[in-house]
Amino acid sequence: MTIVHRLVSILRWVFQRHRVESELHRDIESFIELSAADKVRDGMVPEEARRLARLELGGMDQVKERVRTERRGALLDELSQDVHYALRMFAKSPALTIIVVVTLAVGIGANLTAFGLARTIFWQPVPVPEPHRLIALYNRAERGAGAYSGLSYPEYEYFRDHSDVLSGFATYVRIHFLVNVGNEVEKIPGEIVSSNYFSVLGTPLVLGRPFSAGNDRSLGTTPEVVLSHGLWQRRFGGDRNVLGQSIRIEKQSFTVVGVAAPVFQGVLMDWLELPQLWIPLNMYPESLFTFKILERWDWHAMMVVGRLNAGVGLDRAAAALKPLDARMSTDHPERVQAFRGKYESTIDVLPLQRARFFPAYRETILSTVQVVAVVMAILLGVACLSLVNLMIAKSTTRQRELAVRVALGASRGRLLRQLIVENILLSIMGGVAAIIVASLAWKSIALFGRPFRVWLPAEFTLDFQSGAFMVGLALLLGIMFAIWPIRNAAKVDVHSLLKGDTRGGRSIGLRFRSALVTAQIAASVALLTCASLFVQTLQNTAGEDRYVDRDRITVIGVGLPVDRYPEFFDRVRRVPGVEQASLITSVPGVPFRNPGFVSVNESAWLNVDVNSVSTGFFKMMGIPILVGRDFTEQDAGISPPPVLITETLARALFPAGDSVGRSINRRSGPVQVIGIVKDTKTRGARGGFVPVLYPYSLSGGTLLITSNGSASIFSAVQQLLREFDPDFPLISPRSLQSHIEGSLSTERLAAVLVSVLGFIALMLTLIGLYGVTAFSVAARHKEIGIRRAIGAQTIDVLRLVLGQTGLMVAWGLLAGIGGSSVLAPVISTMLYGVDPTDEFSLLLSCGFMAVTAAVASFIPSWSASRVEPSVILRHD
Amino acid sequence: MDKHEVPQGTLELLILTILSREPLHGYGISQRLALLTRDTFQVNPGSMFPTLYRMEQDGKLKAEWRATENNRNAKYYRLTATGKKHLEQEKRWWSQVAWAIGNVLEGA
Repeated sequence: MTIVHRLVSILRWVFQRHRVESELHRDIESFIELSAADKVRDGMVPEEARRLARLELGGMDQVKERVRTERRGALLDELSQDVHYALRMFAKSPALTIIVVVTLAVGIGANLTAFGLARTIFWQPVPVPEPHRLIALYNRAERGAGAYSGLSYPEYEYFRDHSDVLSGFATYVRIHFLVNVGNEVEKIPGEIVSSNYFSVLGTPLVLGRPFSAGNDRSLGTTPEVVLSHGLWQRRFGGDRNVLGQSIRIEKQSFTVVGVAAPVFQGVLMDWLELPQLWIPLNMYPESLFTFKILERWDWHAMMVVGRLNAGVGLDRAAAALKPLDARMSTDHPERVQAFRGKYESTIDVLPLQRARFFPAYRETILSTVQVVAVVMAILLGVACLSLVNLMIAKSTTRQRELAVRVALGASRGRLLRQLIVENILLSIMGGVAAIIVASLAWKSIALFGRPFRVWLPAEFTLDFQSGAFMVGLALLLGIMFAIWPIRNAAKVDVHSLLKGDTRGGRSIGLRFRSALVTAQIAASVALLTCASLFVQTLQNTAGEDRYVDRDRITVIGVGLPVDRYPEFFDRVRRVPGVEQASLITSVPGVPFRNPGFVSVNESAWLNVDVNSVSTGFFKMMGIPILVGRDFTEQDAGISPPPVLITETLARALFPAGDSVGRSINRRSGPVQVIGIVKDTKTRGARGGFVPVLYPYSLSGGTLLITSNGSASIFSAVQQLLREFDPDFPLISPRSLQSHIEGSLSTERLAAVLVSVLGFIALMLTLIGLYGVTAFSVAARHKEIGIRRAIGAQTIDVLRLVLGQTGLMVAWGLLAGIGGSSVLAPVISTMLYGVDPTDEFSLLLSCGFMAVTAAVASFIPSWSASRVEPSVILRHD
Repeated sequence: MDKHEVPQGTLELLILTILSREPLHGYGISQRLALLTRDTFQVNPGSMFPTLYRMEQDGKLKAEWRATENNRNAKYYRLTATGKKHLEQEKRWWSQVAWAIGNVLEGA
């Protein structure tokens, strides 16, 4: 019953507020009248009686306010009042509101981005059922730089057939396919997978079925293809009739049997591009793999993924799988033979979550994400300091308003809630804006290519985790910033404030606010120092080991049948405008390698980078041949095949020197060294000088040409390519420079990101500094007036005010230098060619900070020092 | 004002008791309250109103506007059935408490 009554009265209050209010008014009014009438009867003058009656009651408005606050459903009501009031406050000071919201948005948005990155790269599981039961196996070289590699197909098969801890074991390899849909040829990244791939993973399909169960070794038996959701949408317009249709992949027709769910984009997040289609392993001969990938024990390019039996942990899996490694070598001597008796690697069992990108890169990626997160957190710190500063400033100016409301009967609790509501509202607005900031930041990161090596989703998605993170952060900030004004409000002395004395309130904040700005200066200096270090790193990596005019060298990918290359190369060189041309396998200066092994006596195999090149390569690259000679066209077909080696390799193979003319061994047989070339940073600046073997070959899939750069030359080359292979898709040529720059996306991101964040931090700091200076000047305006009146000059006043600010800045710079030295070890792994404690960077950031700080504090000081003393003194 | 303020629950009990005899307007209630509690508590009319309105919202009181003896319009409050039941409960509760506390105090 009571509940019903309460509900009715809440509804009345919500919908008939006016009537309820007027009834209350009349009720109190009649109380006063009756009370006054009694007093008149006792002989009091009517006016006096009414006054006394009101006094006894304790004030009409106060009583009304108390009835309202104690009303059932009042909380709801007051909250909506608070919100209304807060919105009115925001509208009254739009500039402040915008600054607060933008500051919050930048601070929270930056961290939302960092959180999203960490989540996407490290935590987000493969979107399949029970991802925690999935593992990956890698061969790990016991020594040498190669570290991790995949498994060979026979190795995969052995594990699949002999393990008792796996409920399923699948393998896959990623490669580009030429795909022909509706007579439009496109080079599309895809995967060749074992036929059990989808069932082992449990990949959700939106359409159709996984591959029919087949034997991976029965070549050519199941020409089926599963499309990615993206490819289905892009090339088939999401047509559900796609099932059963034929598409041509390379030279073979495949039937579409299924479409994967949009969330599934393969297991690996790096390595080529994300797969857009999958074909079964028994169809591999249709791909570019021209050798027998199912037979080769030494071809460690297959990735594997296993599903553990329910209840089997990683330790048990490793304990069960590792012994199989040794048993396999005993069972299959050909495995060891394939490595010429030098098979030195062990099997590593990793949870799939740790193997979604090449395990050897984990440290690098982790440290990159860490640096981003740290930098974003520093920015958030600066933003918070700014906000606290603004809130204190706001609360100081609001003290009078709060005092008035206290005097009118608002309880302090009510005021506290009002302030909290205001701050939470600001947080919500900041949080919403932060989502916009984060999605912009996400898109901007994509502009840098692949700075974290893995492919990131194109759009920033706010999932539950990120959402909770953001709401938590926003609320935390909101409540934190309510504390200051509340602390001040608690100290409000109503009487003195109403009398217009605001000095008490002012002195509360100044010291604290100065400390805040000092901290901001320190953080900004640290960020700016980092920015300078990263910019230098980018310059060093991009500019190092500069080949002759990298802008004039154009890189064109070609993929021709092996026997057509000599003719193609000959024709290319005769295209009008082409000055020099060379066919190579690996583009120099970017961190991708084609590994190989060499030895002097077939025992100590050395892991080296191999780049097969045609004539003209060293001349085009400006790489001097130190001893011996360059390749000539007569080198084709010579036995033993001639090779050139780098200085580093020569020293490693022949410490005694004199290597030209000597015979060395590759896995494929003996080769002859015909010359030594100068070391260059073939893997990019960070790769350093590595041993490189240059065999002579005309069939490298990459064409380098130098020309005057006119577009007609490129279209002529493409025309030529078409002539040799009509199916070949046209890929726009890129300069070697842009290839090398493309490989520096991490460096570019670091340089730009930290510079931008440093700039934002600097701006926030300057706003804070300006505010505090203006505030301290205003607080001392009387003193300044008196000083001016007794003869102080402008310069004296400036010295007085700026002296204080100068001290604050000096402390900030000092702390900033300290902060930079704390930050340096965190970022040192990402630096190149610059010392983390680089004095130039410190000097630059301190200098920049000092100059801008001087400007920001000079403006309010100058205007204060110019004011006529009489004006100031008359003010109070 | 904070000295001898009537505890909230008690104020409600007092109002219920006063209104159990006859319907009264706010001023009348405050007069009675002053009379009843003169020596023990001081009841500020300002703090009586919120309680009165809360009780009305809870359905313990019902109010209607009518003329006073002096022909002024006033809001008269009277007990509802719920209010009467509540008063009985409260009375029992308080006499139990008083009895218990009395025992404790005497025993000490």
